[in-house]
Amino acid sequence: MIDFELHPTVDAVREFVHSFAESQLRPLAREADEKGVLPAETIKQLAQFAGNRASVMPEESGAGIKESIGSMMAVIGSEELAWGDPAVLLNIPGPGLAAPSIVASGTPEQKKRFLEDVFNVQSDEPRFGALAVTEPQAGSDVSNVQTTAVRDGDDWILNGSKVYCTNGARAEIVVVNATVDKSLGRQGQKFFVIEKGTPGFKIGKIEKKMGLTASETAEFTLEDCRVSMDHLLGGEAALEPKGSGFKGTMRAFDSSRPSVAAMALGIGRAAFEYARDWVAAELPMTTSFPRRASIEQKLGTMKRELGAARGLVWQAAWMADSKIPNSKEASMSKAYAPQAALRACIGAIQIMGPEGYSKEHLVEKWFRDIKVYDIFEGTGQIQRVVISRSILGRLDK
Amino acid sequence: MPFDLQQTDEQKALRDTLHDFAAEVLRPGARACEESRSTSEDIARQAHEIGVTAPVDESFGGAGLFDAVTHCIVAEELAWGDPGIAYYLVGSGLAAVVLGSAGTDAQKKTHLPAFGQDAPVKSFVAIGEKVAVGDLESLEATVDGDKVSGTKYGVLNASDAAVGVVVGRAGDSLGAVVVDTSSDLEIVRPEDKLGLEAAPTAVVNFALAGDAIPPSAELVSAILRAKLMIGAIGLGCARASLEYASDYAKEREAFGKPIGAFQAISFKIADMAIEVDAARLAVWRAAWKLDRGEATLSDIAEANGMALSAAVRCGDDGVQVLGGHGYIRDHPVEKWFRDAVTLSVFDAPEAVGDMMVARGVSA
Repeated sequence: MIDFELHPTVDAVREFVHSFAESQLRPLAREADEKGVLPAETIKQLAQFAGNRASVMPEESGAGIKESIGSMMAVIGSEELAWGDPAVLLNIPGPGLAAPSIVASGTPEQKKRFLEDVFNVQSDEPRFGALAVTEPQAGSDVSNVQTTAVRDGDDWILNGSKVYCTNGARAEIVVVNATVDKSLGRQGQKFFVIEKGTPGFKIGKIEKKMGLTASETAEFTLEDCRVSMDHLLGGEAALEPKGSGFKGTMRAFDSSRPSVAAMALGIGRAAFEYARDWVAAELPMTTSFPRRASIEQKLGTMKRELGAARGLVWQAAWMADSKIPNSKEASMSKAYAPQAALRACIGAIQIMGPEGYSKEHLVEKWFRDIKVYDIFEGTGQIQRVVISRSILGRLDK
Repeated sequence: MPFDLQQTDEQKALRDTLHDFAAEVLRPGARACEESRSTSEDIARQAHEIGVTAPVDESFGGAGLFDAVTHCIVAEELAWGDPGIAYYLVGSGLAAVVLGSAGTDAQKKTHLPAFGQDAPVKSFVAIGEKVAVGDLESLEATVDGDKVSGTKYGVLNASDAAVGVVVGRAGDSLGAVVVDTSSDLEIVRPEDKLGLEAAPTAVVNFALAGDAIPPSAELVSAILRAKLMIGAIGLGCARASLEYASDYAKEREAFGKPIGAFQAISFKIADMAIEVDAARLAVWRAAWKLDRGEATLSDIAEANGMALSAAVRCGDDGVQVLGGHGYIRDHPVEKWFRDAVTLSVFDAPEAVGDMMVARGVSA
């Protein structure tokens, strides 16, 4: 039955995460943006927080419930955390985007070795994982990846360079895709796990970005980087013609797109609420009618579009939880939410005028932060390719 | 129940029935209704037999009540067939919604049984005005006791309605009066419209005494539901354009390929699909709030704003994808575009919707 009420557990998580975001993250936002890093203490706190979030789950709600609302929890949590500060989200320790590819393609031994043994352990230092796909000449066009993996007995030797890798420099493990057989195109790409400190794995520069400055974006090169066969995700079986390759791993991202859309929504909502409260506090009722009317209209459009974005995000998450294929809807949420949020951020700046572009307020930061959400995890254009193919089929063959 | 977008089995069955009806009866009949500027009696009777045009309780001989969410599903499906006919069919039953939920016992007994008879009933709920097309707070028509006075636009069935409800301001709240339609209303002029011709409407001057519906939360809620139907029809109109343009993009070839292979076209299709889903979620959310008795004018404005902008955009893009063919009346897309723009005036997001949403912003 059509129902827009959140599951009580999801709602409890939302409240918990919101108060954490409000009390812990928002106050750090400006300083983190200026320094380009979060205080180490805060990162440790985030590691603890990730655990606390799980503890909100009531005792009796076992794995079953968690599975049936897992995606809803993820999008609700993502919206609230990003509302607090989006860069902080990417500083939450854990395997990050390495996890979906290892879960989707790894053998049981690889899941234990690279996920459980690395991340599910007591550690004084926060631990990160990363995924590196993008190369200087290969962004949306992943088939153009030039990194190669050449077999040498029971080992693989990797060569190439990767860019724009979130947490790439501090990661314990990085999952990279490399071509084992150029003649097979994208199907010839396989995923390898590279461990920190492997000879030939060389970290390059940390990017200076328009926004999300407190999130680490690294480049690295692989120079005759030698790894053993058990670092090939899926093991030797991955080399079979139907072996786990690019497509299967990418499918895992159907679940991450709604979360990224939810983060964008959280940023847009932050800007909207900030502008709304600023208008209430700063703009006298005596302000000329045309100005007030245009501001009201702008706020109304922002709220309407953010509400629509939330609908699309929740729809995609609900479908994932209900085990309904959602790749079109996941892309819809990812195509729409970042643009709606970007319009909200621009609108907030324009409503606030000179105070909008001033670093005295956070709206200019949210504008810088939001732009990348229409680019990473598949650009808005790639999402539209996914959506239109699911409606029209492949017409370009 | 936690968040859920699954329709009930009943809703699915109803949707399927209406989809067939829309495809087999409304689509083929749309142009004839448009030309005659009315919905044919045959179509009205068939829709009446399905039992979805007016929600009336069985105790009054009706086919049964249904909630606002179901009402939106009905309106979307009918509008997918033809927005003009849908506007007529849904609009003709709205007086039953207002009377059934906010009328006095005597009013219910007097007016509701007619909706359960074999023949469909024509009725209207007159809300829109020249200036205040969407904004209930600035209506100029006034209700004072049993008296109502003001000029209403877009009044459905003005010359032959069996029952009509006129909405106006009653001091600080909304008021409504049931007007006697057995004697002639003061029709200023029939509206010769850009679109939605299958729904005959008129400008009507009301300066008369009727039978007041007591102001209540139920009355406000029923009026909001009537307004939301405009959005639900817009949603069906948007979806019709999307699906028609998608089918066309797969078939039509240019430069040796189906035009859908070009991103200039396929991205348009993707954006239309996003708008349609976003609109449906907004409309359903508002309907769900209505069913819980929690909806405000700003919720309805938010939903209608999404749905009507989707209708207009998909209407435009639908014609554009078909190119020259889209502009020709052999295809329905030009009609849906005209219908969408006309519909957007009945509850214009550009004029008032967004401002209502902003005012509904809780601090």
